[in-house]
Formats: sequence, C-alpha cells, structure tokens
Amino acid sequence: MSTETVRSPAAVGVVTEHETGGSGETALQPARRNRLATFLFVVPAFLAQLIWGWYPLVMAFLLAFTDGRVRGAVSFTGIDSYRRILADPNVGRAFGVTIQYAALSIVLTFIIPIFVAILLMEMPRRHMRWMMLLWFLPLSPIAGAVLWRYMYNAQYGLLQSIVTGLGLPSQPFLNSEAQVLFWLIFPGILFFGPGLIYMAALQSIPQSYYEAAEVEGASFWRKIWTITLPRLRPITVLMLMFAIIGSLQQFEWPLLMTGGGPNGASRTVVMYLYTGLLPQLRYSDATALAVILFGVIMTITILFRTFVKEDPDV
Amino acid sequence: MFKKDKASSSPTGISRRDFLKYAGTAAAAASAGGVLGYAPLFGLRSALAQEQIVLRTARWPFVEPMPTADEIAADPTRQVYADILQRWLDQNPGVSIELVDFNIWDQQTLLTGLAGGITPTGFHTTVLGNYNIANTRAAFAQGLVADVSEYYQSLGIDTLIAPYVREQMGKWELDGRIYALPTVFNPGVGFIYRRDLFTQAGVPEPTPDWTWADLREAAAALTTADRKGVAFQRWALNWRMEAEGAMQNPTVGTMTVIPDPGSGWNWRYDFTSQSDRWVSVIQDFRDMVFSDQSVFIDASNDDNAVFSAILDGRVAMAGLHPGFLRRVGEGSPERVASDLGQTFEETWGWVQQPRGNTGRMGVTVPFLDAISFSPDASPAELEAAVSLYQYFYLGEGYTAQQQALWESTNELKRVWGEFPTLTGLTSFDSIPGGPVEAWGAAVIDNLTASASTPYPPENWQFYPAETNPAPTLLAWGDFLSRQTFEPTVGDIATELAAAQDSINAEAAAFTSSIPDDVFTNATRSYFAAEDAYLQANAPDYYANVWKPWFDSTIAPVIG
Repeated sequence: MSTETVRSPAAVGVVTEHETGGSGETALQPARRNRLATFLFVVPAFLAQLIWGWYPLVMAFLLAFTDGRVRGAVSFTGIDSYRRILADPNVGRAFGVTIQYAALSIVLTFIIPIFVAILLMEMPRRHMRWMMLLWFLPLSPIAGAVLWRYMYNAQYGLLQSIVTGLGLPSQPFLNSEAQVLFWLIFPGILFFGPGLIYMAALQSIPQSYYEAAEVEGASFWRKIWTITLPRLRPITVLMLMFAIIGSLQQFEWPLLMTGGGPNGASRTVVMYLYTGLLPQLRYSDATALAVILFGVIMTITILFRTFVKEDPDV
Repeated sequence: MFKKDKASSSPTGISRRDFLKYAGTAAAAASAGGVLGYAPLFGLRSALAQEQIVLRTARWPFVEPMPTADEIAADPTRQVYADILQRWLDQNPGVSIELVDFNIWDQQTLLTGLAGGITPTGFHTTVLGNYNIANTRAAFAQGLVADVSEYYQSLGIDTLIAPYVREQMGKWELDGRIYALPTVFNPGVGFIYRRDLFTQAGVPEPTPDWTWADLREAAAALTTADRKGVAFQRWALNWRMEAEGAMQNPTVGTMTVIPDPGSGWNWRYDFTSQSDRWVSVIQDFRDMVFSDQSVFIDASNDDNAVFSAILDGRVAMAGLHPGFLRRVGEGSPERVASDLGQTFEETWGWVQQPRGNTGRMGVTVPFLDAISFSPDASPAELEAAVSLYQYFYLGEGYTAQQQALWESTNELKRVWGEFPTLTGLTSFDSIPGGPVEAWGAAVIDNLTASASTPYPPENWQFYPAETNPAPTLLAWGDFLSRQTFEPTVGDIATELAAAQDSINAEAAAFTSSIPDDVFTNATRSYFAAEDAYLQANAPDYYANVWKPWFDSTIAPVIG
C-alpha cells in the first residue's frame, strides 16, 4: 500500500482531540471551512431539486384534486378528476395500446440487439467498426420520424416499392390497426436500441472464461448461454428497466407519424394525456392520469427490483 | 492544477478546498439566477419592471421587431419596414419593442407562460384552445387573455374592418367583452385543383355548388396510372360526414348531437337512429378509396403531404386551405405553372368544399384568425399594443407596407397575398392591379363566393362558455379513421353503435356548467336560427332531411 493513499483524519475533515489539544480553535477552522464548502456545494443542488423536482411532483399530486386552472385560485374538487379518468373508455384503450407497445418494443428493440451485439463481436474488428458506424449515425429523432413517415406511405413510400418489387402483396403499413405498432417500433430495430451498451459490456467479459470453456469443449451456443448471457445480466437488467419505463412513456413517434390513428390503435397513455386532455385545458384530469401512470410504472419497478436479480453469480 | 491543501497554494494554482468553495458559490449564484428567472411566478415582475413601455413580441401575429443594421444590409427591403415602424414609434414616444424567444405556437408552452406571466404581449388567439373555438372561449372565461373592448372602440377598429369580418367578431366576444382582434380572414378549407388537368381530361371544373357525387366522379375521371384524382388529409371522412349532417359537435344541420338537458353533460350522441344514412355515406367514401382507387390518403397525411402531392403532379385536386396557393418561390404553385410554361390562371383553381348529396352546405366556413394580448399587460402597455396592431393590420402601416412591397417586388401576388382583406380593400392608389390580376378570376371568384357565404349560426352565439371540463369525444374520429383506412371492416352499423356507446359512456362522467333552464332556452334559440338558416341556404336538405328529424327528435325535447 503506498503512503499516498493513507489520509490523516484531518485530511478528511475529522478532528481528533489529540490534534486540537482539547481546545484547538485554529485546528477547528479548517473543519468548519470544509463543512461550509460542503454546505455551499450541496445547498444549490438541493434547492434546484426541491424547486424543479420535488415541488412540481407534490403539486402534481395535489393538482389532481382541484379544478386545475391555469391562472387564479383553484378549487378543491375531491376525486372528480379520478372519477372522470376511470370512467373514460379512451383511457382503458390507451393503456391497452401502451402495454402492447411496451411488450412489442421490448421484444424487438431490447432482446434482438443482445444477439446482434454478440454476433457483431464475432466479426473481424474492421467490419465491426463499419457496422457500428452505420448503426450509430447521429440522427435527430424528429427528422427520423418525418423521414419514416414518407417511407411508410402506403401509396408512394419507399417500403411499399420494395415490398411490391419483391413480388409481395402491397402492405397498408401505418394504415392498419393490426400493423401500426409494429411499424412504429421497426426503426428502433434498425437503430440497434441499446446495442452499443451491450457491446461495451461484452468487451468487459474476460477472454479467459471463453478459453477455459473451449478447453472443456463448449460449443458456440453453450458459451453464450453459460458465460455471455449471465455476465451481461447486470447491464441487461438495468437496460430492461429503462426500456420498460421508456416504452410506457412513449408518445413522440405515434404523435408525429399517425396522430394516434388509425382508430386510436397507436394512441398511448401519454399521447392521450397530451393530445386529448391538455388541449381541452383539463389539467387536473391530465394530472390524475399521469399519477395513475406513475403508479403503474412505480409498481412495475418495485416488482422488477424485487424479483429480478442483477448479480450474475446469483 | 489543484493543490492538496491551502498551505501549499501558490499564485498559479488554487486548493481543492478553494475550488469547492468557488464551485459552491457559483452553483448558488446559478441557482439564484434560476429562481430569479421564475420571478414572475413569485410576483416580482412588477418590482423589476422598468418605467418605459416595452412591448414583447415573438413576431407574427404581433409585430416584427426593428430590423438590425446587419439585417438591413443583407436585405435592403427591410429598411422600408424599419421606416414604417419608426414612424409609429415616433408617434408613440416611450414605447419600445423587444424580441423574445418564445414558442407561441405550442398550446402548452403558451399556457405555461401565461401561468407564469412571461408570455409575449401578443399571440395567436386559437393556440390557447389548440385551435378549437370552444376551448379558446373557455380560456377567455378563465381570464387567460386581456379584455380589449375599450381599445376596440377608442382606436376605431370597429369602423376599419370589413362587414364580413365584423360579422365574425362575436366569436371573440364573451359576455359583451372583446378578447381578440382580427388578423386574417380565411375563406376556409376547400380544394386546390389543377385546371389544366381538368381540361385535358375533359372534366368540367368544379363550381361552388358542386356535390360529393360530383367530386367522386371527377376524381375517378382524373385518375391515371401515375396520378390519383384527389388527395385528402387523414381526417377527410369528417368532411364527408359533416356535409351530410353527421358530426360530434353541434353545428348547423348536424343530426348526431342531441340536446339532453336532463343529463349531466346536457348533450347525448346518436349515431344509430339514422344509421342507414351514415352507413351509405361511409360506404360511398370507402368505395372512392378502395374500389375507384382515385384517392391519395394515408394515416400520415397532413396538409404538407397533400400539398406536396399536388405540387408534384401526383394528384389533380387536393383538400387544402387557399393559403397554400399564395406561396411564392421554390416549391410553390406559381413555380409549377412557370415550369409548365403556363400562366398561374391556366394552371390553378380553388373551390369550396362540395355540398352533401342531400343538399346540406359544404364544410367550408370562412374563419377569422385573431390576436390576443397578455392579461399581464398594464393598461398603458395594452393600449400601445392594440394601437400598434391597428397601425399594421388596418391603418397607415398596412397601406405603407403593401405599397413598399409593390415597389420592391413589382409582384401583385405578394401585395395581394391575403384575400379577402380585413379592411375590404380591393385596390390601392399607387398599385396597378387588384386580386383578380394577381391570382386570376378562377381563384378569386370562388374565394369571393366562399367569403360571401352567409355566416351560419354557431353554438357559441347562443350558449354561455362551458367552464367545466368537457369530454374529448375521440371515439367519433377513431371510428372514422378506421373506416377510412382499414380495407376490411365489420358491419359498419354495428361499429357505429359501438362508437356511440363509447362516446356516451365518456360524456356520462361530465357535468356541464350551464344550468338546465339556461341550456334549454339557448337550445330553442339555436335551433330556431338553424331552422331559418337551412331554409334559406339548403332548402332541399331542410325539407327532406333536417325538418322531419327536428320534428321527431328535437321538438319533443325542447318544447
């Protein structure tokens, strides 16, 4: 152990009686100064979190019990907002769409990239770099949505030309209630989702594990199943949680590409909140719906943290 | 860079502790700055305000700021604007104009700004209600905009606007007070069409009294291997249904919204008692899309997609606002005509929406865009803001700008970019040519016909503004989008009944702020006005469709 790493108690702000000699005022000053610096450093962050984080959150919970006016005094209305939201058939429909969207999104853009990342790692390094470059081109999500909207056009879009060019029947793409969610998620597959993170995690798995497995005669798939996937578990668990939360809050792409249609088949909960309730100045109802969604996400997160273990050795 | 402790600090470095202190202090200052940014929320604005009147603008529909020297150097025509604005500023000493970076076109941004008192002085009125009149009037009732009645009178705005504009001002009034001032008179959404393609196909051009049957026939005749007859935005079936009298909101001649004063919401929705009629209309539209294949429509189609289709020659007609015809430069109808070696008038036409096949008027309704002002503006700021509005939209500044446009471009299309004008002007002294010379008789005659359509009675004229939350009624639009896009659907009548159940289930959770007796009296007046209007403007529809329905369904309810 080098002496550089050994710190005296004073160096970390702890003042001992031996150092102060029982009364040492001068020895206390650095500790006070240190505490002041710490205080100054923490208070702004605390204030910022209080003003822009916790205060709006608490206000949101309270707003759902009022008539939610933009200006002027609000009136307490009890659970009226929750009553309206729970009686609204559009809400149940939007939750159904959101859950379908989340499930499909996780299957297509979360699981597939794990295996793509594993296969990419097997490629020669030069090819791998090119593939990564193509996948991770920085594209604006909004520009991407506009571009894909034109590509999906059922009459003049590029994808229709490809489909019919291959001799397949023409597809309705975004015009079909049955297909619309798949086509909204499809670009996420091409953009490789969290693939870059998987690739970084894969590189951290010691090569010696694979060499030992090969000595034992393990096949390619056996190595993936026994070494790769368990070692990826900490990162996949974390990413899965982010993916679930993110997909339950999704609304930009459906908003930009279909406006929630056809027949509300792509109208998610957040989109209903944003395009159905807020334009009508129904702030308390929108907040009540947001609180319900918050409850759903929180419940899923707690269950997830309770039952899914991150440690690969568990 | 960092020293381990203060004792070893030198003039060339700082200690880690010092760094922490400075960082903490800087973070505190930044945090305080953030809090001050919220000052208006805490009522500190007036304390920080300066004595001088500052009008805050985020550009149109309020005023453009004074051009900078660099802007004038880059575009010398800006000097003309600078001179016109300076003239007003000279007449109003003590007033200055400040450009602010604020997205006034997003409803949520605007409402958040209003909550905090940080919006620009003027903004587009209907953004408040997400372009919905009922929501916008609810915003008036909540005090989200300034009352400008006093300045409307004192600055003579009432005498400067054309009669067809004044006729619509009631939309921006609530309880006799005025909350918005006109900026653009829109003739309404109709159809832009290619006159040359109609001629080539031997199809007669549409006239203001055309019907949906005429449209379907024309679209089929204009469809070729490379071109569809007509392009629609994704909600076009709404137009078709409304032209026959089916809608989710009470508008003149609508037979699907029934007054129900005994219920909490006061209205119920009936899509089934005339199910045969609606099924036949929906089937007709679906036949256009799926059998005739004469329609370009997609779930992603907005007005830009439709405009792009007609500019590219992929369609012969497009359901659009006539404002798209007025675009100039690259990607404009004018440029298409020029590329084809034709005049604008030979190439382009515009016509209002077709009538329903039973004779109900089309859904093209002239519409008045407007500007509203911040409720936080002081009386002096408000007076200055309305005076500046009056100068640029109706007064000396407007005339001077049009003349300057002519002098700098010699293009009548730029001078007559807005037609019909707010003031009713059809000529300027020093400009050789009016709207017809600019856009051609085919366009202007139909715009004039549309603008002179008698204004229909609207429910806001009769009912108090709803101040309670209202249902979204999305089930109707959802049902129509399914009928528009799904190649195979179930029994349309059954699906109509499901949509009705859904919309009534949603409405059942709402309570209107309008008392039953007030509602009933308003309903009597509203339906009396509808009766008179339909008799005069859609006599066949009135006699054969609406009146029998009224006698059997509405009369028993309202007595």
